[in-house]
Amino acid sequence: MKYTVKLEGRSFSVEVGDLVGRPIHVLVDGEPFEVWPESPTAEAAEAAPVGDTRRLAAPPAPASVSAAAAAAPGAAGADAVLAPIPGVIVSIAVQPGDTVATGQELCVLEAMKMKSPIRAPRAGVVGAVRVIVGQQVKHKEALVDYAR
Amino acid sequence: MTEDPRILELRALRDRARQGGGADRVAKQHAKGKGTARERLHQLLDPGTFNELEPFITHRGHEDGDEEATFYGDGVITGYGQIDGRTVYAYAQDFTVYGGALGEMHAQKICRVMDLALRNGAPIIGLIDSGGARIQEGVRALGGYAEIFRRNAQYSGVIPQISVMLGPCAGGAAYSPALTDLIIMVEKKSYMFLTGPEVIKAVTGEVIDSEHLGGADIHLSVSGNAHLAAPNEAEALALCRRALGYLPSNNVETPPHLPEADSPLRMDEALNHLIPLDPSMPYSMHEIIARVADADSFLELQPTWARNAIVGWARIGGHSVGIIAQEPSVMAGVIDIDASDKITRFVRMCDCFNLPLITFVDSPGFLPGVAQEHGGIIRHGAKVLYAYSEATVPKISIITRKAYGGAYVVMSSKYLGTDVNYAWPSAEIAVVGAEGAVNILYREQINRAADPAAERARLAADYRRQFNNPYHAASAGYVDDVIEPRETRPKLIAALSALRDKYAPAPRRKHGNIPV
Repeated sequence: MKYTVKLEGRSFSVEVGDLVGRPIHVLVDGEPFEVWPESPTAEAAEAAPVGDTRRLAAPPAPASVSAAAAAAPGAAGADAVLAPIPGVIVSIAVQPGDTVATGQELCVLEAMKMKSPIRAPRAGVVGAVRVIVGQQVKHKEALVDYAR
Repeated sequence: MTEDPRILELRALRDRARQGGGADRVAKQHAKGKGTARERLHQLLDPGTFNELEPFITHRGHEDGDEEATFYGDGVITGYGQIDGRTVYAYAQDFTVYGGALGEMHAQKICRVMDLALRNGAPIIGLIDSGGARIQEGVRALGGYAEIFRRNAQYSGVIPQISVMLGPCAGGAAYSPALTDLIIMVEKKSYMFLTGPEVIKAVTGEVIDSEHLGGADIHLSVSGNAHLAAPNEAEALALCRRALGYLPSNNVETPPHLPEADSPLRMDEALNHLIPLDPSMPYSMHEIIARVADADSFLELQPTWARNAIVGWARIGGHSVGIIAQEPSVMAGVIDIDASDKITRFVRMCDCFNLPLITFVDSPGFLPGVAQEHGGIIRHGAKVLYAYSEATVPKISIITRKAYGGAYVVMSSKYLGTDVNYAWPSAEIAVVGAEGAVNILYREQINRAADPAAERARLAADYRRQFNNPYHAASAGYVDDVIEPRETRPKLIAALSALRDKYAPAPRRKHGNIPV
């Protein structure tokens, strides 16, 4: 989609890419930007550890337009649960549409001689399960998306 | 009798100095949920112990300017007082005067209390609330910062230096804290950055607000620059008081020993049931620390950054100690770049201030990956080795489960100079895990076997029997004893007593060259 945006008397030609994917790719006067839309559930960036009742470590991703080169690798889709470490998925406990509570097991990731349960960082509804049992995942690869 | 007019004049001047930037600005500060510099000092120190120094200092050149427009104290309150009956020196920047911005005389006042703190072997505490350098003073303000930074560096490891961040702290106001031992922030009220959101927007086009750029959440869980955070000023100042309770006043004093509130002979049966029989199931190292240390004595530093590693102060039998550990329920307890940074800085801080090091080991190794290797994990891991090797304080280690490869070596292993080395019966000490080992050692044998998978499983089981226990290491003298988990507390207290007079002088040199 193409827009013309007027800001402080200047016009910018803005081309916005796929709105579903994260980041959203935007061209402003031909210069590429990556946009991470703010979401109230942005804390979901990292899975909660076992038995950890402290507040989640990952801060909400800011509603910001950052130059492509500066985009933090960890700031992926604010509504996805990401792999905290590279490893292999050994089991999956949820399906799309499931309602999950905070701390509920989503899947188990085996890495570095340990089967670590990946838990829901917040309550919500599972949107998509992006992995299958036996799949090798990379660091910060999305495992499960929230629908809401 | 009428009062002497000279005394009345002093009282009037003192009143004026105490007004800071005036009632309007004080009201503004209060409206933001913030205290004034004096209120904060009184909250930090034992009641009635604060004595101010140099309250009448004004910025240079005020003689030519408007007398009414100058502020006594030049935007910073300095002096000494007590915390739990022990002397500390402190300064508090006054945001109501020039936004706490640092000028030449302001810096001179800070340097003065830093020098007094050093000479008298007492901690220095900075309550930081400053917009940075005072632009009107030009190079004099920059030179003032340099004077402070030089002292931060030279006094490092001699007296504890603590920074409590209580407002927006930009540029130089963030550098001095970075050189100190401990940074405490207030959530949603304090920020640290070298260049603020506006400069960043102008230079790189990135749009971000102060909170997401350098708020407490960011420095506690993303950058690792700060150590502790509190929801408000009062709790941040209380954390500062609590932290000092673990530290000696200087590097030749021993840390304060508290009368034992918790039995030194207490054996916690639950410890014997904490480690799952399946070595691939996680457990909580935090729980082990809480059960071994004196009740409620563990103060974890950087609890939300590099959570695969744990560092913090605790008391064990009343002894003040530094605890380092892996958390197997976070990233399996691997050691990565951030965990290396976290462990190294903490080990060195404890060594500076004579706190014994107690290391709980459960790590499968260093985190494999291109990003880690390209990010310099070699030099970051090397500094963990450097710090443990260099530390001359009593060092005790307990291997609770996995101690594989590099992780075994760096985490306070015996021949890095650890004084007492314990292992639990669940310990596994080996170069690599069983599957990895047999694939390398018996590749030919496995390939030739009629059923390679079965042969691999048989060999792995043999390997596990041989190495996945602490007795192989104990028989070779790499573990001093194998103990039941419940015995850990009394064993640690006995070891701390036996090592109390440890004397291990380092060779004379200018200083080492730690990889950073």
